[in-house]
Amino acid sequence: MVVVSRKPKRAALGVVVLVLLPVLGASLDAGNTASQTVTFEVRAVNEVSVSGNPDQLEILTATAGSQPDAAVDATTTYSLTTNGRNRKLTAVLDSGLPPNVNLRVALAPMAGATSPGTVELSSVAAADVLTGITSARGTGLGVRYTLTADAAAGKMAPSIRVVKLTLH
Amino acid sequence: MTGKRLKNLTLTLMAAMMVIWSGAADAGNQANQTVNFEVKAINELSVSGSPGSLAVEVATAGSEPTDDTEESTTFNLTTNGSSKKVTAVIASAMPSGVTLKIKLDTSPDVTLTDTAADVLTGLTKTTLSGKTVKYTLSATVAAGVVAADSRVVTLTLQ
Repeated sequence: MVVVSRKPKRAALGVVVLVLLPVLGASLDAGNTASQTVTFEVRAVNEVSVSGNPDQLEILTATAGSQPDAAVDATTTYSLTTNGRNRKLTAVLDSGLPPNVNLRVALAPMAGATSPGTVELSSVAAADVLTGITSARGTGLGVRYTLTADAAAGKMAPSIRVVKLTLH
Repeated sequence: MTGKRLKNLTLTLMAAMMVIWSGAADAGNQANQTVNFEVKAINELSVSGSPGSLAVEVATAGSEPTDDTEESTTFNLTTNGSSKKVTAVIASAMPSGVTLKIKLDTSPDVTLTDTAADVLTGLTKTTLSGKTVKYTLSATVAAGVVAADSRVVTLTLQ
């Protein structure tokens, strides 16, 4: 009898190292920024408005020997915004006044503008009532109308004129 | 075979059987594996594109020009960190008298400059998807007229 000594079989123990890698991997550092291109512009802005219409101007009295007293209204205001340079505000009537009757206007200037003072209004040509307006804005600034009529104008029925203000 | 030799053989076989038996039990029904794992920092930010053009072009008489706003784009964000924030910066300053602001989702409006500013803070282990990006362009009358220009806004999650 032959006896063969057999060595016991041992199961091979393999050590498996499983490394769980994040799906995103090396892109993490690159993905934390994002960019947007913003296109912008500032266009010309020219805005003027008025608070409303003045009260009716009435020539009612005179000092004997003198022309009738002027009628004045300063109840309205204007507001203005411009980002332009050396702009001006003009005023013009929609139709002419009767003979010997004059209507004048004076606008209080805001910072950055120049007022020529009281300006006679006409329907023939627009008159400058504010000049040299540069990058300016003002609100609630006074508008003063003055109506005069010589005795030669006679008595007149109520009339209306539209004053057009334009910011150039 | 003598009795003594038979006895020795028997003992030898019994010993061998015990070794085989014990060795097979340890190797056959168990196996071990060592698993190493890690979750790395995740910080991902994206936007849906660039916004439409902004233009300041109107005003209420007596007031500064009216702001223009744009909120057609969105952002997405994922972070597994704590107390993260999103900063925003532009490469060069805006023209004098002109301001560009950004607002992410419900965060406050933040003025954009060439220094990074915090626009969204306190982000901890969160995801945000399809949230609004709002831009506001402002200009004072002092800015004058400004020709069309652009700035690249860089958002960073950190």
